[in-house]
Amino acid sequence: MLIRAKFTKEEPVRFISHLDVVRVFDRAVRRASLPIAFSGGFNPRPQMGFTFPLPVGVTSSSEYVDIKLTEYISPEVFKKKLNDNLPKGFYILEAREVEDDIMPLMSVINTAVYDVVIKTGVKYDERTLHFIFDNFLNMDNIIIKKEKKKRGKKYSKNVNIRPFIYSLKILSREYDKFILEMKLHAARVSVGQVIQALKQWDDKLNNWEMEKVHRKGLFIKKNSELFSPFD
Amino acid sequence: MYKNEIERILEQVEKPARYLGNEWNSVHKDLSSIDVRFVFAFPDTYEIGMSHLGIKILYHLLNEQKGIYAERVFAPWTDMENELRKRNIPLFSLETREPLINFDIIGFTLQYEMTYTNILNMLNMAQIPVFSSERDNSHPLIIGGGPCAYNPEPIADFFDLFVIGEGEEVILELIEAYKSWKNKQEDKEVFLKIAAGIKGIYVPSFYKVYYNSNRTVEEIKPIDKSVPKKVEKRIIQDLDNAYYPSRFIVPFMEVVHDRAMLEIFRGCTRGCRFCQAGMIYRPVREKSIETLEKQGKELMDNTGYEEISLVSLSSSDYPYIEPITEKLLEAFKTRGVNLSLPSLRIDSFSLRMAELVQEVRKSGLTFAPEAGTQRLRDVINKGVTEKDLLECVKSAFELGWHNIKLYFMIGLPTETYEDLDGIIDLAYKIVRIYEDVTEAKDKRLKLTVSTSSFVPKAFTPFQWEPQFSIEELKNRQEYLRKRLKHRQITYNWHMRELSFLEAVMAKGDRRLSDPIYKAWLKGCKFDSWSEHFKYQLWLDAFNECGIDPEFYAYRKRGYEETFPWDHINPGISKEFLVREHRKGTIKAEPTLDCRFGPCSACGIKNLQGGRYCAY
Repeated sequence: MLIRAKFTKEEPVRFISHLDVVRVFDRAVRRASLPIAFSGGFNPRPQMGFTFPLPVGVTSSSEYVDIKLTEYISPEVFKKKLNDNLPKGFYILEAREVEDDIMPLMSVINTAVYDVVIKTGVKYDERTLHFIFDNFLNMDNIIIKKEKKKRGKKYSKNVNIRPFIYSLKILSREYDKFILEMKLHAARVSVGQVIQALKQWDDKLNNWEMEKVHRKGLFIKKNSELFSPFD
Repeated sequence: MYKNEIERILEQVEKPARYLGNEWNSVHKDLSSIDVRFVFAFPDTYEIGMSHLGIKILYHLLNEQKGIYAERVFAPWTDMENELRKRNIPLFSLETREPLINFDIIGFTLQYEMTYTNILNMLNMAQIPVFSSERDNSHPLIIGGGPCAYNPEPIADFFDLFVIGEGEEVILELIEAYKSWKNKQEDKEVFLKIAAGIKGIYVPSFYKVYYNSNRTVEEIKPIDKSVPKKVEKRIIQDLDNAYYPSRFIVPFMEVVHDRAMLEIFRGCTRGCRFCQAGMIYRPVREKSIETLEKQGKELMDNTGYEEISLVSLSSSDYPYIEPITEKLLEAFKTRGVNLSLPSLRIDSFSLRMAELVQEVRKSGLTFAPEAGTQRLRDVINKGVTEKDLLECVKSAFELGWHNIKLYFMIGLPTETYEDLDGIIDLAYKIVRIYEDVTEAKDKRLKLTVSTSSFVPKAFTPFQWEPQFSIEELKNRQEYLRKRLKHRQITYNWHMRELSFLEAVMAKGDRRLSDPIYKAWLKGCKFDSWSEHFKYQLWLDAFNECGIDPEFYAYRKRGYEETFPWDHINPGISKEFLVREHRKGTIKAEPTLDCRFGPCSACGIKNLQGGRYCAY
């Protein structure tokens, strides 16, 4: 049986890397004595599939994992047992049985939604902010330099990230801070790269600092409509 | 408060998971019911410290006591240090992020001599004076324990007290004494007096060292009648019933030994003459198979680790190694758990064990013949023959292993170039055996030959021996390097300068506190990390203090000389060590393990009434 679970990665564990998260789940499912299916080979690993790595330091209320089991267990029991064995900061919000041959998360999820708290240093009024983002998104091309590595050699490549920025929306604002909702392609562009591009485009924004980044949604986008991985 | 700032810093440093403190099974207590706050300090990185069994045992032991809360701190990597110093944030504990200066007791693990500068650096980062003479009641008590505490003299000036031997019992006695003293609000001196009366506790400030005109130690004398002349080490009498934690902390990040550790026995009586562990951890005490089975299962249930390692100084010497291995393999069969048996000896039995646990995975086998010729192996009492080794390697190849590591020591007492030729010879014989076994069809052999440089250590039969000069070690490493050039052989060697300083510290006396302090002031830290090791700064430090480090490392010492560590009693007698020294270096004769041969009269029978020696 295959279970798809949605989980959080909150403040206490935001500094652990994607690889560490995989290890956390590996050990938690073993502690929980769930009937996990192991991979073959000399180092058997529980069969699990995750989504796109969350950058270190970012929190999330919307991570997903598929876990393969050897026998049926109710998703509710699964959720309870696993939650009892996850370190503080991880929490399974929902678990559902899915078809064994369902497409892996990595191949279907393509959209991520973030809330980004930005500290501007100086006061901006709402109109100015709107003006900035409207103009920014009005460009057809937003080119940034991406650092890449090939056979150990570092090189940089110019990439147009504009097609991967779906929307930028101001959710709330106080004196020198505002919350920006970013809807982005889940893999082709990062929050950091969008901020980098903003600063590159207008050096008056150079003092802007990301105070907090939170991933609140991962979706499957089909014909500009968003579906949850549970759908 | 610093806590918000720390979060900000963590966003900027490499590997922030080193500093979190909320790993699975880490302990978080309600502070309102705590009388004594203790922090275990490990003077190296998180990855190394979290691989250390001693800390794990003591951390959980203390935390299972009411009223005591024990936390952890490791040496912050240099990027973290820079950020903390820049913002004037004092070094803090992992669990509660409390500044170290607010703790009652800071306990340093003394695992390796070349971490001493890190101890000073950590104290300084904690804004605590590094010299014990500059600390008073308002400062935490700074204590140390571990193998280096057997010769604590080079760092005597920085510590309030040392724990000699195994800590499980004495640490509780010490904290109990601390608690009643703390309530009475008396002077620190009063507490140290009480502590010095506890068996196994050494308070260096109560001892005065007198020197001869030739710079050797004349006498180490207690300054007060109430203080013992000799400090006897502590041991756990009944290991089978001793405390052992089942809820090991499971780190988020990958650490050096990222697995559950099950200690199967303590002590070793093989009697290798260079080996300090084989001398100071005597006598041998084993756990029963029932205890191991129970502890092993509990460990896996509570940690979820994918691997468990049976830990001791020599796995194959545990009499029930085969049944316990089979039992644990059976218990974990469906759980995808690997079992590892480190420190296997070189014999067919051990190979069978390796085969048993590895099933089909033929990752690598490690053997430590230590020396290249039978003569030299007899000198050091490493009871292994070339025949053993070659037969073992041959069977390993037949069973499908391709990856062999050989550990040797160079610069051993009486070593000549013939002994080095022995190493080369062995390596090529192994390559040929591989060709024979695989009929030269297989080219997968990877033979790694590693040499460390011999460091004479206190309380070993070789404690009287000088170390070879850096120059000579270089010649010998070069000699091997040139001759071990082969497609399938990799030769590794250790930093010579580091081995030299290790020898200085290992056999040093109290006068070394100054150069250690100076070296740290000049910027030495993480000395055992090649990218941070600054040998010249160490030399400058010695120079400015008017101390000749060669005096400690290169001098052949006489039997009549008083050693800086002679007031510590590890249980084995000096007469035994002298006998073993002579037997090895003069006669090149081995001594049989007393588990299989006659009693070698090492003296451990006289320790604490001799109740512990089973052989």
